[in-house]
Amino acid sequence: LARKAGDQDAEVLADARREVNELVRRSAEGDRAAFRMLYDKLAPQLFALASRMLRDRAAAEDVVQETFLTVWKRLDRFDPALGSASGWLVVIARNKCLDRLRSRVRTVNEEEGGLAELPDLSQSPESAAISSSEAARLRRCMEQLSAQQKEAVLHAYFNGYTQEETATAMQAPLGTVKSWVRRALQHLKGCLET
Amino acid sequence: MSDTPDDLDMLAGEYVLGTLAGGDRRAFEARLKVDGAARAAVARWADRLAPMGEVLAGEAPPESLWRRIDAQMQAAQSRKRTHRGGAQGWRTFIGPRNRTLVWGGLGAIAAVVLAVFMVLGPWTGGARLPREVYASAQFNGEAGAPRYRVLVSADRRTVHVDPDGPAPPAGRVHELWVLEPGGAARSIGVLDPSRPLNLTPPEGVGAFLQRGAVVAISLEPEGGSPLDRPSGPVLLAATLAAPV
Repeated sequence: LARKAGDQDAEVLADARREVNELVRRSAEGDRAAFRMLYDKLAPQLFALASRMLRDRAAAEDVVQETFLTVWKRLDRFDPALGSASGWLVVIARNKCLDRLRSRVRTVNEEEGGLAELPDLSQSPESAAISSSEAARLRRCMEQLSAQQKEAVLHAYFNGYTQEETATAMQAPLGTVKSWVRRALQHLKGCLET
Repeated sequence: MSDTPDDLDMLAGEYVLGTLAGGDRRAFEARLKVDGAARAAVARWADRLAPMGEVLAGEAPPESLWRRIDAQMQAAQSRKRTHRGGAQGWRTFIGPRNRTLVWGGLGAIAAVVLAVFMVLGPWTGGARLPREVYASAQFNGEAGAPRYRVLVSADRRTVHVDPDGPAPPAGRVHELWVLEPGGAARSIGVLDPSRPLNLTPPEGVGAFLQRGAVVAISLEPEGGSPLDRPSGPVLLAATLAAPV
């Protein structure tokens, strides 16, 4: 029964992906309504992520705007065989956030970078139903990491911290942080492939 | 590139997570422009990590944001139309579909090589063309991006560079780099956007000017990067190939 439920999840997921990829394909052919639908589908998550990383809603709006304009100019270069369109947009948006963060001067201290500030992966909002089975899988794999490995990954993903900033926030040597991140990535890769 | 698939996968993972920083990040971005395996590895990590953001409650941006995006798309489209001197559909503006340029969203794609210039016999001003060319690369950015042709002499002691495009903004220069197999960038020299130049690569750098090596152009302060790697954005990358 569990296997069957898993299969159904996978089908729902595949449908959601196909739907977003199809919107990109139609947009590339000049269908502006499809591009608007793509925006409606993905902008809320990108906006939430950019607001979280930049802690600045106006800057987050700029990032979402730049992301969709970048995507619009490059619609014809998207290859669905390589990955999902949503993954592509998240990378573009996060890279734009990282560029902004790197050009800012900011000071990391334990308090603001503390674990309490990081999202709790064990709680997922209901609104995130679209690929929830995929999110659940990632969450399960993240839970298998050591507490420090997990924290280092979350600092990088949600705070956009460099490894130096994570080392400051976690009061750990830089080399140790680097190995936490590497091991975490190795584990996630293996875990998500099974 | 000499790294193993595992090395590449870890680099791609760190790139997507954002922990690959500074010169390493810029070198990897330059590599993405020309290395399909690296782009594929990034795409896989993008899919692995994308669900992470779902823990945040999605929030629709204000409606004014879509209007801004829409206005910019229309402005870009009408500029293009004017430029082409006639009414063109959106599809025409977007250009021909080219699925082989996979995942080019990660950066401007620079065209690789070719011999068109060699056939045309470009104006070479004060700098002579190398008598025998071992490898060449052509930087062709999107509109507004710099364009240069690079020719490496047979002894790899001379790098001839022909400019054919916009100059950098005032107070900035274009600098040419070659990537070592490990990904570190080595400077070949600062370019002159107004005339062809013959650069002599610093001691030890000529050895990296192999066919298949990645060359890149970054935007730097006058005099070139103050660091031993690009200090500004990498604008374009191309692969050195045998002249045809």
